[in-house]
Amino acid sequence: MPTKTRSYATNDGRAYYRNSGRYNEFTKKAKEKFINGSSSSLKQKSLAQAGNNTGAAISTNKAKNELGL
Amino acid sequence: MNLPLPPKPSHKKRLKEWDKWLENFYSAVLKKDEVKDFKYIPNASWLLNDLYWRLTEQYIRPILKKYGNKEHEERVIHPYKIASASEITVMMVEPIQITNNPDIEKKYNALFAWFVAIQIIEGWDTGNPVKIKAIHINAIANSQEHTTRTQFYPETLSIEHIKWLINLNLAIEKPFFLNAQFWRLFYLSCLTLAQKETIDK
Repeated sequence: MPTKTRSYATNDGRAYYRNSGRYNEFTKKAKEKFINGSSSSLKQKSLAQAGNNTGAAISTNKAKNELGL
Repeated sequence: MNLPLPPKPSHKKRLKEWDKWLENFYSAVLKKDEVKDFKYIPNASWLLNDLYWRLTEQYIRPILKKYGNKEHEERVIHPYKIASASEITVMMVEPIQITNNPDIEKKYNALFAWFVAIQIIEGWDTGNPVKIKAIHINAIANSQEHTTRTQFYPETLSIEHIKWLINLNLAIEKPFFLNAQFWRLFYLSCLTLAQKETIDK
């Protein structure tokens, strides 16, 4: 049985997403349609804290064990 | 591959965050497991960022409440909706690839979705002087409430949510707002614990 095609991007910025099953429009055109960036996202503090003692790392590792992985 | 960079500062910032989330997930979760035949798909962060903004601009921002005056109106996407949209984006892109094992692959992708959402909730500066910490997040994520005097609910909150992500059919529905409510309640539960701690001191 053929394997499912994975999400991928082409050089000109065209993208295919695995779980929508189709190409989206060209990125450039799509970007012109974007009304606003999220201004709130610029006020935030660090959203990507590294380390093994973050809530994200601890809770994900706990969940991973519960899933039997 | 030289893919086009997003033009807006917030989009560029989020692209860097997607990069960092993939890196953090690898070092905090995947590395120690030495998962066999694991790799991220090529251009994973670019694809995640691109789809994230498409989804938010198409499904979320147009129906949000407007703020500001008539000259400058804005529809602000709050952190709960960002966490929700990020999770759904991960499950649509599935950036983690594990050869010949679709079940394990799906589980790891759902774990990554959870990881990203928690990074957002944990790192967001809401302006509240009481900050939530890892201990509060883990207490809520691992909670199993009583169902009778002697029995507990069979799954922790985190596992129930992750299993929901695994089984969600995103070709049929994209429950951004429903999921955002989960994250708002999650944050409020953590905040209640943090505030209680402040009062008890």
